[in-house]
Amino acid sequence: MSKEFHITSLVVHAASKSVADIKQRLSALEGAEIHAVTDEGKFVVTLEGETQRSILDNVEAINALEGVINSSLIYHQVDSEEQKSEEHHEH
Amino acid sequence: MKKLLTAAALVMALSACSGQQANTPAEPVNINSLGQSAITEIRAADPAATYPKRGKSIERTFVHQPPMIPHKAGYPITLKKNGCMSCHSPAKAKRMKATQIDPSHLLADAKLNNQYYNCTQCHTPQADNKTELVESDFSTQ
Amino acid sequence: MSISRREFLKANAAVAAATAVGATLPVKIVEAAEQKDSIKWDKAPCRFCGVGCSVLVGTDNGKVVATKGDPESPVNKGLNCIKGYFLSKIMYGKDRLTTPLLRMTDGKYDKEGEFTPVSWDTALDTMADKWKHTLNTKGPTAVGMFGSGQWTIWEGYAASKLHKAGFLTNNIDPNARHCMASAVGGFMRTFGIDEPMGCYDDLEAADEFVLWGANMAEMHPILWARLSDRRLSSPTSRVHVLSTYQNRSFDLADNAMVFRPQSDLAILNYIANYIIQNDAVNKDFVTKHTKFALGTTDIGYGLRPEHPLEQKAKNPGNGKSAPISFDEYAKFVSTYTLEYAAEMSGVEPEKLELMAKAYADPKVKVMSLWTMGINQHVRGVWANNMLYNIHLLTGKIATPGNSPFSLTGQPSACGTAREVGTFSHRLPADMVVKNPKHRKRTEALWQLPEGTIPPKPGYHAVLQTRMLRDGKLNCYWNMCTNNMQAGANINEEIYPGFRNPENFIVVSDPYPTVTAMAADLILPTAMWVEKEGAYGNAERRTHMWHQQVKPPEGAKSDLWQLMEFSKRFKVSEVWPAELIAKKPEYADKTLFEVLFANGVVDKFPADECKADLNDESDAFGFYVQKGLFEEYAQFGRGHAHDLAPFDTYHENRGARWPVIDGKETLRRFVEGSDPYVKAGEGFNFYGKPDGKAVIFALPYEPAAEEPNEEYDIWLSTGRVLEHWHTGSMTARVPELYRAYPDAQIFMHPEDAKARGVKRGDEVIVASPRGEVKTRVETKGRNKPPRGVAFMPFFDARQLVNKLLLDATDPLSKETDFKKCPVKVTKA
Repeated sequence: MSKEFHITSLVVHAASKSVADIKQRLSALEGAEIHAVTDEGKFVVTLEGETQRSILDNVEAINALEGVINSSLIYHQVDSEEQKSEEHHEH
Repeated sequence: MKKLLTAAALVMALSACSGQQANTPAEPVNINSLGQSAITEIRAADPAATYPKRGKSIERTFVHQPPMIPHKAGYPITLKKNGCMSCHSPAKAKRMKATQIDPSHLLADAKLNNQYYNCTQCHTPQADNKTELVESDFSTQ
Repeated sequence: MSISRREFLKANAAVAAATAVGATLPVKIVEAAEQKDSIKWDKAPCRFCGVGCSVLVGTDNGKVVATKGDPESPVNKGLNCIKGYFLSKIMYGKDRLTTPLLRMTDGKYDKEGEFTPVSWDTALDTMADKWKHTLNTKGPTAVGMFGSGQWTIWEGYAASKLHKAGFLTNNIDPNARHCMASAVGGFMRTFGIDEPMGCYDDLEAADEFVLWGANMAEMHPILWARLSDRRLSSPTSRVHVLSTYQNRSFDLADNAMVFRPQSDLAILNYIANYIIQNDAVNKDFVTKHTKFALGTTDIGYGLRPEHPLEQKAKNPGNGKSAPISFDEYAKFVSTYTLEYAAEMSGVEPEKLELMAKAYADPKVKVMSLWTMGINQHVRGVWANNMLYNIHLLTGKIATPGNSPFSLTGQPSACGTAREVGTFSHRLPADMVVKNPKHRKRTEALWQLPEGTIPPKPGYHAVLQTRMLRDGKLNCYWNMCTNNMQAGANINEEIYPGFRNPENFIVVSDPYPTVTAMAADLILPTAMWVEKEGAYGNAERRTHMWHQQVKPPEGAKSDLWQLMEFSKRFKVSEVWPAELIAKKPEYADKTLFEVLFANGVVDKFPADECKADLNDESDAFGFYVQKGLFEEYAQFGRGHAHDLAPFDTYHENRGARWPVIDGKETLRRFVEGSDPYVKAGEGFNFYGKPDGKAVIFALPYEPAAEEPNEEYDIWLSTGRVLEHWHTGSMTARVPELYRAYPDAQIFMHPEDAKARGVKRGDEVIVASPRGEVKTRVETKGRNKPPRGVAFMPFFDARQLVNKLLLDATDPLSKETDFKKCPVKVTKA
């Protein structure tokens, strides 16, 4: 059974007073990773998952968080996951 | 200490650029060995290193780097048994919430390649109460 | 070849989003996203130990960005140890030296002054003035150099030429004196020619392995990996490990033995005795290919002549022997019974016997492996001889799996120090300065007038230290070694020697080491893949690498420094008139012209170099490395040290000499493998005029110092896996530093308790010569028995070698770093 790997990145804009709170909640989301936060409260977040559904569920969850002004999807890619790690063995 | 080193490096760089003539002698630099003391001094011992009991996997800093161990690594590796495999073998890793051993270390039938038996030859824990003696300028950029 | 596809995709996703908002991402993410194929990979031997693994170095944008094991190398087959993996970081410590630094006050050289940046010209001119002044007032015995088994082959060769043919001094010795001199002494006495007859292939062929005081698990990890594989894959194979303390190699041992320091001599003779008593002597082999000799005894400890131990010795420094018969040898070793050996060593008799059987049983192929435990030993040469004894008595030598294998510590102690002969008594290809025929041959190859090479051996490592202190050696150049930390008896000998106001000390190093801090002039040096190089590893494999990145602005390679320095001397300034009279056309030439622009070294044009970078060839206008190598190779070709043509080494992963007609030699002295052994000979130990190896009758003799009431613990020193030698490279790599930050003293918990200390406590470790402060470890990787302790010497903050006595094997002049009585008290 071939597995899919979905990766999405988005920018989450949080109200300045909610930044710390949002940070905590985003970290708790399964498959979510925060890569940066700008001074104006914009988070660079990636979401990983095995189905498109799981990604979209997460986006919905983020939008529903108190203090989130808006979120924009930037990048999405689907990859069929290769068996193990992709380390090339030369010999 | 770090500030001094950077200033020294700056002075050295300036001196090197200022040409081959030494008409105006440069200023002395403050260089130090890793000894952090004069050779004749008997320096007090630093606090003992401590290693975390457990932790998240440590990100690698360059491609193909063997990942460091985020926990204490006293698990015995002997003729009879390789302690690391109790958690990191393909069969056990998921249940033990451990990083699975890299496929490059396994034979076709998922058995451990015995050349990789001595895990600590490449993987070591990292003391969590120590900062580098000297900064590293290494970068992959 | 990416970190992982998942991480790569994630990184790209993050970068896209960050760009959209102008956010700054952590460098790691950006790097991951850029993990495409802009990395250029090229091979190089590892910078570290004598195993001589090959690595692939990844460069990008003029920097080394990654290193990994080279799958093409038969040595390591793609595997590295942790130090090898982190080679990518060793050149990037923030305190890399980039300008020569001369001690000055008010713009003038002052030995008590501060390190002040000066130009290369000023540095080398100042050096030249000092050297010329000393040569003219005190002569060639007052200048000298301490070099390295980590020098490239051509650096050692150039240094040797500069000293023996330029300054006319034999005061050049490598730090390999501290590690392999006893092994060399053993080879020369037993076989008449240096270096192992077997090779790493014996690891896969042997049935049983015996480690003699070598902690291979930490010190030769790749060979240990191969040995482990062999042991785990073939259940009938067996591993015996001997050490003065329990260490990681014990973890894979079937027969682990902790022996009392120095008693290895007794155990070795016991095994010889066992072989004879149990009728396991290979009589045919012994009669045809060996002879017996009784060695001179009571030979002292290489100390200063006025030391009471030297005064007491009957035959200090005497390596002579007298021929004896097999029966006399058998009688000699007959007193080394199992009971005696067990009593002397403290090892259980059953274990000793199990090991003896491995040697005696004709069906068992046995490989003996040793390094510093045997070599850094006041009877190191004897111990080497005695190891060969047991392989010769049984004929278990030079065939697959039957292999007395002297492991090498440094990456090129073989390839550079030993083969090039950068010793105070040597010339290339195992020749010696004392032999007039050897000097004549060297002078011919170097185009020198007869009588140039000084006939008397110069100062060896420990003697250099003493002569500095005594003010007899006044101009001293250290290259690629850190003796202020690595040598013995720092407080009484090494440090006073450096700071003696009569002496001018130069240190060439990439980093400010402890040695550099005690110098008068520091020269910033290029390292590893910042220059084109060649090493020779423990199994006689010569291998090469191209320059792959430029050194930091201002740093220059050892080779460049040596050759530039030589330009500042005219022959008329350094040779006596009688010598110049034999070749008057040299009078106005510089040493550079005579030694390097001599028609041979400069005969290959720079564009023959197949790499993009070669700073030395650019500087001097010819392919320096090739010219030096090919001139040097003339010494060994046809004399059982044959090296292949230069270019082949850049194309392959090295080759084991003798290389004849493109074919390397796996095993020497044996018909069918060694081209120097003729058909029908079977074996021929052609290093000896009669082709016979020598079996030496040598007794147990005690160590220089033994524990007494005040200094009641025997301290051994050595390395740990994560650090190389004095840590000047590895302690600057964050991961290696954090893996093993500080030295400690490994002690038995009961010994700690008896001194009122527990694990983690700070203690003072003292000997009559000095003190260090460290912390106690009772549960670490090394578990000494009661009365023994271990400290590694990598930590510049804990100069353990202050404690050690500079006692040496009087024949090899190699320091014993393993047996220092100390006392441990709570700090």
